[in-house]
Amino acid sequence: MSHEDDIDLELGRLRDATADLRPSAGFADRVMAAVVDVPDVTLIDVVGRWGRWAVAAAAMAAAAASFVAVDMEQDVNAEVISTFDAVELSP
Amino acid sequence: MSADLQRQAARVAKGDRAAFRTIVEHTQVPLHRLASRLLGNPAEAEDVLQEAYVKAYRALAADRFSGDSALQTWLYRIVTNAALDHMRRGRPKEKSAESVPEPQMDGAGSAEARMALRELDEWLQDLTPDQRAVVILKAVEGMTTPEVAEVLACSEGAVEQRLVRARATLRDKRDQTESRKP
Repeated sequence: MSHEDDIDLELGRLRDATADLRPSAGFADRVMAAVVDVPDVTLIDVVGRWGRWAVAAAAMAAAAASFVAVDMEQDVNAEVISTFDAVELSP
Repeated sequence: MSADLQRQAARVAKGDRAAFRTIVEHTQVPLHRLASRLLGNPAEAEDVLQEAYVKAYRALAADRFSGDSALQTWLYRIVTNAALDHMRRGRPKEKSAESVPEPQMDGAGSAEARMALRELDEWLQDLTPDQRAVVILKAVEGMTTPEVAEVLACSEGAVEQRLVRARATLRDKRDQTESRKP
C-alpha cells in the first residue's frame, strides 16, 4: 500500500470516528443570548453603507470648489492685466 | 434546505432574530464538527463557533451577505477564518500528550469521538494552520478543490500546493513513527 493511500485511509478512519461530535446541550440558546447583545446596526455598518456616498459627494464638492477657484483667479488676473498700462491722472 | 436557509438569511436582514435561530439549529452540528477538527478541542470549538455566529448575525442583520455563495459555504468560510485566527493567536492548551485532558462525557459527542479527535489533532500538529485547514476541508470534510478555494478565499493552485506540502509533512511523520517501531 502506498503512503498516499495510507494517509487517506487514516484520515478517512478519523473522519468516521469523529462524525458524531456535536455541541453541548443549550449551545443554540447561548448563541442567541450572545446575539441579543449585538446591536443590529453598528457605526461601522453605517459608515460602510453611507461611506461611499459621502466620498463621492466630497469628491464632487472638491471638484466644484477647484472650478470656482480657477475661475475667480482668472477674473483677478484679467483685472490686473487691464490696469497694468493704465495711466492714473490726478486732478 | 439550502434555499430555505437562504430565505431565512433574507428574513434576518429584515430584523427577524427567530430566523437566525433556525439557521443556527440547522448548521450547528456540521459547523461544530468542522471547528473541532480544525482546533482539536470541542470546548474551544464551541467558543470559536459562537464568535463566528455572532459575526455572521451582524453581517446578515446589516444586509452584508451578498448571496453570491450558498449560506452554508459562507458560514464555513466565517468559521474556518475564526478558527484560523484562533490558531494563529496561539492556542491556550499545551500539546504534549500528558497535558491533554481526558475526554469528558458532558455532551459534545461520544468519548470515542473525543479520543479520535485528540488522535487527529496530534497527527496534524506539525502542519501550519493553512495546511491543516486544507487537509481538514478537503480530505476530512470531503470538499472539492474549488469549494476549498472559495472557503479559504485563495486560488485552487494554492489549495493543491498546501495539500502537497501537508501530505509530505504527514508522510515524514509517519516514516519517523514507523522507523521507531522495533
